[in-house]
Parts: sequence; C-alpha cells; structure tokens
Amino acid sequence: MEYAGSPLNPRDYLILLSLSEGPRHGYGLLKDVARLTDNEVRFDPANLYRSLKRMIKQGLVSETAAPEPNSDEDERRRYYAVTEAGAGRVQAEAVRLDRLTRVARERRLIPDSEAPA
Amino acid sequence: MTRTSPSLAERLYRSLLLAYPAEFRRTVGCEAAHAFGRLHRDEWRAAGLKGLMVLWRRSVLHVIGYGLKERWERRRPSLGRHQDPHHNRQRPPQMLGLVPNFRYVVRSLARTPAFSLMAILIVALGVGATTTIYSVVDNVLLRPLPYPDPQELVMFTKGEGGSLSIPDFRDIYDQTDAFASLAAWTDADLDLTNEGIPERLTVGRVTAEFFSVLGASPAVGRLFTAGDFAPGANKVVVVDHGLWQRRWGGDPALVGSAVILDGETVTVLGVLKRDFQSPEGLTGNELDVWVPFDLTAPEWQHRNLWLLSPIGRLAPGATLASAQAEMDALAETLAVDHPVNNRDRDGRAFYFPLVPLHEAMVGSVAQPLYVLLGAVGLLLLIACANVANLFLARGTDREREIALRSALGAGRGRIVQQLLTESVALALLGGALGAGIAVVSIRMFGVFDAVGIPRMSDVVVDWRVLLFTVALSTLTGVLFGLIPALQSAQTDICAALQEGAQNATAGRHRAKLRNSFVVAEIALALMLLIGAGLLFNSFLRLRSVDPGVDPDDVTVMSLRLGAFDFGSIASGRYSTEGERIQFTNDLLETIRAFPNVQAAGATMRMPFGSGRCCWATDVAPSGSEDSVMAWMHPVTSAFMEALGATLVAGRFHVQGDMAAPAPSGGGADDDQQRTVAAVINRSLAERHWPDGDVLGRELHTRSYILSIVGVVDDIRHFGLDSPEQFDAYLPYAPDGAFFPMLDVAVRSSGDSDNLAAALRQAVWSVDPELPVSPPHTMNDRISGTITTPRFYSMLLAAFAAVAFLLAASGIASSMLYSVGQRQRELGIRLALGAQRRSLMRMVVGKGVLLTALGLSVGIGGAFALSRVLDSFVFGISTTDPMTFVAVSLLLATVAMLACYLPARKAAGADPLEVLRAE
Repeated sequence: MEYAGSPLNPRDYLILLSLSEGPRHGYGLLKDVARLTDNEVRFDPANLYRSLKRMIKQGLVSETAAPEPNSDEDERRRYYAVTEAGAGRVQAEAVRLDRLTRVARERRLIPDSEAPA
Repeated sequence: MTRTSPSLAERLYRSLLLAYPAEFRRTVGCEAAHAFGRLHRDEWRAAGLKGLMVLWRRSVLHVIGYGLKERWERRRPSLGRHQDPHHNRQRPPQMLGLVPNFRYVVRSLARTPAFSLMAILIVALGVGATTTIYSVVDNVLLRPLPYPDPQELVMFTKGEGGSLSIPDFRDIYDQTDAFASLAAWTDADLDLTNEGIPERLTVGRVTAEFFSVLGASPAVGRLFTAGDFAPGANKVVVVDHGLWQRRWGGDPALVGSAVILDGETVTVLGVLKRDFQSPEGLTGNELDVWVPFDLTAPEWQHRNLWLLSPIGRLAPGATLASAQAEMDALAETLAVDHPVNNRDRDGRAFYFPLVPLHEAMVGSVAQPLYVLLGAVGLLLLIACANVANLFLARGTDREREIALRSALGAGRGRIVQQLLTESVALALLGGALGAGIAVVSIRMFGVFDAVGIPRMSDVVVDWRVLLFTVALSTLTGVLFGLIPALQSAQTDICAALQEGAQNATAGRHRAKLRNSFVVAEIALALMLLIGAGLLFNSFLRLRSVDPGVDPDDVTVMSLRLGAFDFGSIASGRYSTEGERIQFTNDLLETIRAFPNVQAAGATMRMPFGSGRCCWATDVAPSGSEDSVMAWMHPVTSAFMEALGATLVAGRFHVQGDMAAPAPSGGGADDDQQRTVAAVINRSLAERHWPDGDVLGRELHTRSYILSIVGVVDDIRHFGLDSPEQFDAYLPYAPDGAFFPMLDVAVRSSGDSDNLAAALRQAVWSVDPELPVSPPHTMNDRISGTITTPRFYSMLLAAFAAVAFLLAASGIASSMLYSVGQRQRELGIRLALGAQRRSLMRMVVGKGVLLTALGLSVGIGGAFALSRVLDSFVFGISTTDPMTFVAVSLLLATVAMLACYLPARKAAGADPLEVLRAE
C-alpha cells in the first residue's frame, strides 16, 4: 500500500465499491459496474482482469472461492473479494468524495432537484 | 447453464489478447474471454448488430491499447506505476516486447522487397476499402446526432408517414405529458428580393420550442422567444449560418437589419451557430431561414391540412413505450371526435407512431451501409487469405533460417512471435497506405454525388476512424500471420537443416493450407462478384425503365407565383388565380415564339422531382363505388407534347379545355362537381375499363367529373423505381393556378445552355422581379432519381473488381509457386518419359479441382446471403440464375487461365536443365 490516504483512481474505486457488496467473478463485476454507473463505465474484460491482477498485488483485492457454487459453470470461475486493506481504502475514498460533494452542493453546483425523476 | 465450447466471439477475442503478454493470457486470458463471450451475448440480445459493432470497436481498441501498455509496463518496470519484483525473472527483458524485434523485422522485410511491397499493397487495398466504408458507417450510423442528449429526441408521423394538421399538433401539445418539450416545423420556399439578385430560399416555419428541443444557440443576435409567436408580433427571421456567410459574408451588422422576404419587410433576429444542423440539414438540405409559426392564426385551423413534422424531447422518466401509449389513447379520442380527418380509408384511427430521431434520420440507410460494410469485410478476408498464402510460400523458403534459429535456442513461442511481428508490421504499413486510400475515396464520394444518404456530407477520416484503421490492420496482420507462423514454428529442425532435403510432412501440410486459402479466396470473390453482378444488373434494368416521356431536348424551369400561404402574406402580385393564369399564358406564348422551340407547356410540378407534384383523390367511374386513389395533375395545353409523352388513345389537352377561374376564387374543395376534360394514364384506364373502350367515359371525384378525352402511357412521376400508379391530368386553368408552384417544360432543338439563358430572359420580360431557379434538363432530373442505386452499385462493383483481381492473382501465384516447388519432380517425370500433355493435365487438374471447390462454396454462400440484397435490387431476383451462372463462368475462366500458364511453363521446361539446376 504505497499510496495509503491518496485518492483512489476512479476505476479501482468502482471495482472496490462493487466488491464491497460481496465476492463476484469477472463478468458479474462488469455487469455491476455498468449498473452502478448507468452504463457509462464499461470495462473491457481483459482490462478489468489487468486491474484486478494489479490490485491483488497491491493487496486491495484477493481471489476467493465461489461463495455458493450453485452451477457447474460459476464454480470454475475465479471470484474476487475485497481485502481489509481494500475495504479501508474504499471507505476512505467514499468519505473523501462525500466531503467534496458536500462542498459542491454548498456552492450550488448541484441543482436541488437533482433527485432522479 | 452448462459449459459449452467457446463461441466464435470468444475465440476472436482470445486472438486479440495476443496484444497482452503471454503470462497474462495464461493466467486470466480464459476468464477474460469467457466474460467477453457473455457480454457479447448480452449485447446481441439488447442492441442487436449495432450493439455488437460498438462492443467490438471498443474491445479491439481497449485490448490492443491496454495490452501494449501492459507489455510496456512490464518491459520497463522502473517506469511502471506498479512494481512487481518477481514478474521479470524468467526472461531477459529484450525477449518480452514487440519493440526489440523491430530491427530484425525491418531487415527481414527489406531482404525481400518485392514480397513485402506486394503484401503491403494487398493489405492497403483491403484496409483502405474497409476504412472508407467504416468511416461512412461510423459517421452516419454510430455517431450520436449533433444535439444534447440525442437519445431523448423522437419524431412521429400521422399514420404511415403523414404530416400532422395544426389542430392535431395543438391537441397533442396540450393533452400529453410524455414530452419535456415538443415542436414542429414545415418548410416552404420564400423569395429574398432586397438586394442583388433575387434568390429563392427555403424557409422553415417553426413552433415556439423548436430551437430549444434541438438545443440550438445563436452565433450572433438571438433566437425566437415566446413573444415572437404572438399574433400581431413584428415579423422576424433567424438566418442559417451558411446563408449568412454566403449572402452577407458573415457581417454581424445583419442582425437587427431588415430583409425583404416574399415582398414583406422582416427583421433579422439572429444567426444560428455554424455547427447547427436541423433534421432537414442532416439529410443534406439545410434550410436557409427560419420564421415563427403562429399556430393560433384562424386560417390554419383546418384538420384536412396536413403540414407539420413534429419533433419532441421525452420528459424525464418517460420511455418510448409510455409515450406511445399516451399518444395511442389520444389518437383514439381524436378518431372519435374527428372521424373524417383522423381515420384512414378503412375507418381505423390514425395513430402517431413514435420513432427515435436517430432511426427516423438514418434508419433507411442502415441496411445498405451494413451490407456494404459486410462486402468490404469479405474483401478484407480475401486480402488476408492472399497475403497469408504469400507468407506460407515464403515460410517454405525460410525453413532453414527458422530451423537454425531454433537450433540456437529460440523457443517455439519466440519464433511465432517473431513471425507475427513481421506480419503485423507489414499490415500496419499497409494500413497506413490504406488510410490514405480511404481519404482519397471519401473525397471521390463527392464525385459520385451520394445524395440520399443523410449526414454523408460531413464524413471525414478523423482520429476515431484512424484508431479503427490501426486496430483493423493489427488484427489483419494477426489473422494472416498466425497460421503461417504456427506452421513455420513446427518445422522439423533436423530435416530442414539437411542440405537439399525436402521436409515432406511440413511441405504437404503447407500445401494443404495454401490450397484451402485459394478455395476461400475463390469462394469469397465469387460471393462479392455475384452481389455486384446482381446490383449492376438491377441498375441497368432501372436505367432502361421507360420513364413515359422522351427526356432528350427537354428543358425544365421552376417558378413560384406568389406565396403558398393561405392569405397570410399574400400581399404581392399573383394573389389570385386570374393573375397566375395570365402570367402563365403570357410566358408560354413568349417561349413558343422562340425559333427552335417545338412545344412548351406547364404544370404544378414536373415529374421526377422531390416533394409534392400534385394531389391525390379517390376516383370511381360514374355510377360505381369501385374507387381507387389517383394523382391529379393540372397541365396546360402542349404540356404532354413538350414532355414527349406517348398518346395511347384520343387526344391531349388543347387551349380550349382550359376554363376561366370562378369569380369567387375557390379551389379543389368546391362543393359542387365540375366537369373537366381529362387525360388519364394507361394504368387507370385498364383498372376501370380493361376492355379498352375508354374515350368519352366519365370518372367522378369529390370535386370533378372527369370526362376522358385521351389516354397516355404511364409516366413515372416519382422516379424510375416507383411502382405503377394511377394518374389523371386536368386542365391547368383554373384549378392548377390555385397553387403558386409553376414548372415549365420546353422541347427545343436548340442548344440547351442558350435556351436556359433565353428562358430566364423570357420570364423577366413578363415579370422583371420574379426569381428564377436555373433551368435544367429533363435528363438530369431523371438521373437524379437513381443516384442512390447508382452509388451503391458502383461501390459494390469497385469492391468486386478488386476482389476479382486479388483472387485471380492469388490463384496464379499459388499455382506458380507449387509448380516451382515440384519442378524437380516434374523434371524427373519428363526425363522418365512422361508426356508433356499428361503433366499439364496433372497440374491443371489440381487447379480445376480447387476452382470447382471454391465456386461451389461461393455459390452456396451467395445463395445463403442473397436475401440481404432484397431491398437493393429492382426488377430482378436476388437468386437470378443468369447472374449466378455468368459470374461463375467468368471467375472459372480466369482461374483456368491462372492455372494454365504456370502449367505450360512447367511442362515446357527442359528436364536436363531442371535436374542440372539441383
């Protein structure tokens, strides 16, 4: 964890955010990130695995067994989960973003009727 | 779900992953490909072919981009952001990347310049053609429309393609919640007469929210506000950027000044930004000026006046389906309240089908463009097969070099990587050349005049397209390099290193591969050729359709007498039918007095134009309810003679058929029927009186009793490919003069340029202030209706010609090569007494077999794909046996020739020479 406390890059943040709900395999992560961002962020699968490999090295993510091997296929897939360090980083980042968002709202950058229709 | 074998998409994706380091592929490559396969299926279900295109484009760019980045970061760990002390241990750094190979690659390619140049050219052709069409597809179909949040924009029509009446639009505007904003426009012509030459402008009359729906903003001045639409407001106009530049040189002082439009003084409010395109502008016909349309004016409140094209932005939370449901409910209410104008002929309500703006704009060209993209895809495959064959042949020659390298310790992966790098480098060079070809080809589209394809005018080769080209070239390089590379890497070291020995197993394997490439090339080329043949054939048929007129020596001129405005700006001249008829008579008399003129006549709108030419109404024989819809064309005397129409029976109109206008004015909506002399077309005559006794009979419409005086051959008013229709021609006076449009046709033996100048002078001698569009010939008008089919068939023919050349050269070079390889064997056979003739038969026989195989695969493929051409062809089946046979014979002949020449060379060799050369 060479950058503890520094901002997390947005992709890593999305990956950790998605995994904070529970372990997922690659395809599940792709779909969940697309859902979280209203289809705005769509990882290329290979690039996602590239990020995951790096995050494993950084100790933010670990490989894990399938949570509930309910189908032949999913059992063989690699599942990924947040490590403690990863959970700490994503929480720190969320707090940081929240603080920044509050500033933006105070400065009227975000319309009050921002709630989705 | 059970585990299935990897789909084609997965396998393609895995080959893309070659961009990543091997270690990455080994550990998670399979996972990534699997995830991609599932995404691919999702995308196909959710968004179809278009979704897949977007997915693939993104994936190719991302995989290659990030893959190379990953390699780079691993190669230079000190520069990488994320250090890993272990990952570099197995191999020395220079073995890992593509870059260190580069010098070796350049040396190796430069050693065989002819081979390299050939391969580069072939790739350039394939990639160039594909890039060209892709840039069109990207710009026309994939790029979002130039509006904010374009996915929220929808259009709708009344029934199938009808415009809305003003009361329809106001009802929808007031009674629906589905739209955040809703606007409509209608276009017309206006004459600008304040300074310089009088000029005909196209004008959009728009409702209050038009510019805000499209998110437009002004370059100078302002756009409309609500006050501009109030009754009695000052007359104002917004000017398009193009007209501003052209007519006023971009002078900002135009804003606030007055211009004279249709005789009325109007203040210029502002000028739109340069990049603004209205929906009309997207189709290449940008309007010149925009004026407010006051929907509350009493003269517009007619439900039978279908005029408006609506465009709306969906409200937040509304979907296409929810909006449609709301519109359907309203349509049913309207059908009950206004049965005459809101029900179709069968009594069903006119619904308002909503279509996303993007689909409304480009939906009709999506299929042709994807077919063209498929066609260039085939061409690219042929190019790949061709180059792969070259590589295979070269692989044989390099066997010893490769064996030496592996004997010195290069692993199999290393050799594959080396050869792949070579092929990718070659492909990238070819791709660079191909991008140049694409830039030139897109310029050429201007020459082809590709009208009818929206957004075509702003197609450019930009960085998006260039990225695509780079990705495509890389993929091409991998595609044509992979099989030969794997093949070469299997070389048996010992056998290859033995002087003069032939590596029998690898050689046979390679020959088999080469043969299958040849078969594939012939098959693919045949499919393209058949497609092109069908389109070309269909185009010839289209051109040979009898237009129903004799277009040679006919010149056409368009005029407009006063405003088509139902009284709102009818302040100028020609406010009554009487004035219009007087002008028309005076003008025709002047023109008929010209020395070379044989006939001159006028109508509302000439055939083969765009837009409304006439009006449609139900006609039935007297005393019968058996009605059909027919088009009513008001024509003057000598009109048919001027067009050169063919009289089938009776006579054409004469001056005596024309009537004076009724004193009250009035138009086609008079309550009582009037009897007029009518000429009807052959189709209408045969529809009602198949036995042929037509003259003197009568047809009824709501306003007329048509007393038939003549029958004329069908004229294809709406273009050569339009289906047969029913037409009736009425005397121009009085009812034709109700409309301001006036087109004059002149048949003359004189020079058409002189005539054009003389015609304008003739108009100005009758009315010096009337704007005249440049006269044009009837032939130009007719060929204008077939530019789009001509564009498609020319393009496909060009691709097919390239494919044909590539396939022929592929066969020839492959045969030449295999004959060269067998020279020694053939020499021995000759020396042992074999007949030259039987040797020829042996060599040619193999070529015949390959050709026959390729042709049968190709015919099967063309047959299977024939349905995609259904909407392109005219008057010919997409499985037209003549085309299939003729094209197959052509290709077979060329293939035979390509086999025969090498065979003759082989059989003609002197056996002693051959054996001595060993």
